[in-house]
Amino acid sequence: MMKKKRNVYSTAAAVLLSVSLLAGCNSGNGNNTASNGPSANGGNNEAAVDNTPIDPAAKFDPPVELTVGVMIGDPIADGFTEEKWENSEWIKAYRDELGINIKPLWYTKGTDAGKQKISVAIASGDIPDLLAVSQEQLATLSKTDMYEDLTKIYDQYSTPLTKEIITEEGNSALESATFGGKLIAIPGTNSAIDGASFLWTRQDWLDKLGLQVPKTTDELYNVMKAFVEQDPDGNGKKDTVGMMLNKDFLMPGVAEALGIFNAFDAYPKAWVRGADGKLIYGSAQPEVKDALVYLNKLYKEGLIEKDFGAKDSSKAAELAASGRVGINIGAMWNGMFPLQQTIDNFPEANWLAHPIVSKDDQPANPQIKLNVENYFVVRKGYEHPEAIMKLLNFWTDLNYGDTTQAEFDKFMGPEPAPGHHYAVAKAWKAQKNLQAHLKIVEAFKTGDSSKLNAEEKGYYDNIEKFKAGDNTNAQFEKVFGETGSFKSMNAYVENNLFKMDEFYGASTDAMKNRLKTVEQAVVEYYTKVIMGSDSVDNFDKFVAQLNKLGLEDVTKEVNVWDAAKK
Amino acid sequence: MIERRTPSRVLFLYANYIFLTLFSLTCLFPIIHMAAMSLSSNSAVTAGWVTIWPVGFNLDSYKYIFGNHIFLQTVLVSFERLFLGVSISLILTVLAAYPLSKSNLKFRSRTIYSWYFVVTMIFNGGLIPTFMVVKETGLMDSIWALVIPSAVNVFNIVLMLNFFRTQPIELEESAQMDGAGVWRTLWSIYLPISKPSLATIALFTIIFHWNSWFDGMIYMNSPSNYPLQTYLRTVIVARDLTNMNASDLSLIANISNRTVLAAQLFVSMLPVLCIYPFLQKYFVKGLVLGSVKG
Repeated sequence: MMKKKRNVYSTAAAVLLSVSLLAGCNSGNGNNTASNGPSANGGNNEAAVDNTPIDPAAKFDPPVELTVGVMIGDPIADGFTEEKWENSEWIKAYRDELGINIKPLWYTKGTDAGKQKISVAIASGDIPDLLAVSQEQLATLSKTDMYEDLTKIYDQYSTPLTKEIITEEGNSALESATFGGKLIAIPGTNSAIDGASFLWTRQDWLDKLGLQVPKTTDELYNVMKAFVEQDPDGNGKKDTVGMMLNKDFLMPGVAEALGIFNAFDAYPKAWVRGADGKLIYGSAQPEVKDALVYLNKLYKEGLIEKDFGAKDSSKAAELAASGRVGINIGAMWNGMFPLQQTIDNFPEANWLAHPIVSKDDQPANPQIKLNVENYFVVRKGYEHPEAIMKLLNFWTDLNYGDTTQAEFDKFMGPEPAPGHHYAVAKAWKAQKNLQAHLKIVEAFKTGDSSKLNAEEKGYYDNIEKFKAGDNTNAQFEKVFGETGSFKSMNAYVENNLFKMDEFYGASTDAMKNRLKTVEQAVVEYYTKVIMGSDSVDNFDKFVAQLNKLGLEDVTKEVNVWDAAKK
Repeated sequence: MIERRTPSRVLFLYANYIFLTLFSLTCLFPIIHMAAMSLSSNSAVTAGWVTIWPVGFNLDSYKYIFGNHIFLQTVLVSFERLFLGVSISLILTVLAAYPLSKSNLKFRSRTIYSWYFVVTMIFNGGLIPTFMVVKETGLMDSIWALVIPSAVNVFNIVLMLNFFRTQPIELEESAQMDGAGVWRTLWSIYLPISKPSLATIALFTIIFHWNSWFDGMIYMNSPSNYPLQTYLRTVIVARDLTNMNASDLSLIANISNRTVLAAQLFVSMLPVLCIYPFLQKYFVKGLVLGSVKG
């Protein structure tokens, strides 16, 4: 039902967009293009002059120059050359269609190096015209005068489609980039729901032992117990473990425990609304105790590894590759990594994703939070700050607007198309991957794959290969296929189960200084309780200690933020 | 000295040998483990089946890294840095240490100059001011940004200075009697006898340059100018899987390739591993000569 509405809305937006492309869009009236009436001279460059209607799609004439810092993402790092970047379809299109000449000031390889480089650039007061920064870096930047106020620019130059995508999950993305009433960066949104936890189980083990997919925490316990005691891999040795767990089990990703906490209505690290309407910190709420007692039971009975506290996620994931584990709680992409490696080593393995279990018959609420990939900051004094909106409009129009397949493939298709890593500004739709799954399922039902876009078609073809017996492509079935993790994602969405982190603002002062320490104390205490060297009886003492470490101040600031929002 | 071979002595010797053998094996194990991983199949490595013997032997990861132009490029940068860095450092160290080793009678303001150097050992500008100096002097993105800021290491100067001082003053006097000037004395008399110290300082500098990565990351504007360790760091540091971009899904499996990682690490270790045995004999000697007797 909700989804239908959304589709109608996006169609409407697409129509509005095409109108706006023809008509141009009034500066004071950016949201409501249709009422502007068509202008005879649509899309003309003169529209960008003061006092005339502003056309978000107009080309810069003469062309302008825009310096950027380039972060070479890990997935494309292997074959990367600077010439390839500078000659990519994106850069050409920015130049030819938008009149923006992109000039890279630097290239960095990998996210870590990129972050360092940006931090040094900010600290030395010398940033490129356009800079894509993280949430913390944005908070640092907000204390300087290096940024351009983009409030007006956003209103005037974003197309309805761009606005729709940025505000798809409410105004939270924009608010997180607003400091003192000024929008200092454009949020490059990403999917929040893709961070949710799932329960991954080895279906072949369940079948072998005659067990059902667990729905409650008690059933899950029984399944793990059976996995450990009844030799599911049939090698005659008691070498299997119930569930993978890594030392940072409160980080979403792989081999985590958030799914267990959520099962008990506990939401560690998230800000949730308490009974009195105030925001409270999930890690310090009493619901956590039940989850900790449960995990402690698993630990005592050897259902999780004795040394989980010393393993990072990739180390913990070795259990999957060596075929010694039957349960994993992790994100929708776990089917590709690391669970594909189980299938590489044991062709009969069959991992499937299910919604997380619950303590009772009510479905559990997986926790998620606002996901902004990058904040786009424009350097103070740059003459054409609207360039950022033009770049973003170009992106949204290409990906979600009325583009032909050929045009889309030129940028986002299979090689030699550059793909999204070469784009300078991006904002993703929250449900892009879910849509891909639904369309693929539909295509398998009807046998008609012509409606799929290039990316979806790629997944579709790989699933076909898997069905024909190619096990290396099992990963695509496990994520996007009919039995894939997005099937459960769809169930989450249809039943509106997500528990959104209520705090999505920029880091407050106390948060920046104290929250890391608080989080560390939380993981320490949790780990101790799970391993049995501390007890939930000391929970109140633990909470008092957190407050002393700074949680009290952070909570105050978060509630000030919350009150100011209304 | 003649050892008496009493049973307890023999027992002690055996225990000693066993202990030392085990100890050196624990040092060797990580290296062998890495070599084994680099020669194994990827799925066996991620399953944790590889210890000291390759499982599913293959040379793919070596073929891969030697076909990877960025890796080779960064090796070249590292060697260039090593060559420039070590030669510049040695020259500057000797030129600074030699005059400072002279007595106050010969070199009046020696104490002032010494303090001038020593202060920089205790206080430094910090990251951002250093970065801005490098930037304003136009060194960014060139090999010199890696070499010049670290060209003078005061610790090495002190080491060298103390070594020069331990030499009998008569050496210098006799050279002067024979008509040698200052340069000649330094070049023909002092340098030949200070080989152990020079080797020690060279080794320090080599290891410093070979291992540093941070300056490469902040001063270089393009990965093809990265030195090897900076490059390695970008491939080794655990990737942030929590915020994995949805459209990168199909690439995740490819980037978790630990055999390639092991091969790169192993190759990067080789140069220092090869140099060390040759310089080691000077190493301890040079350190002790400089410090204890000084």
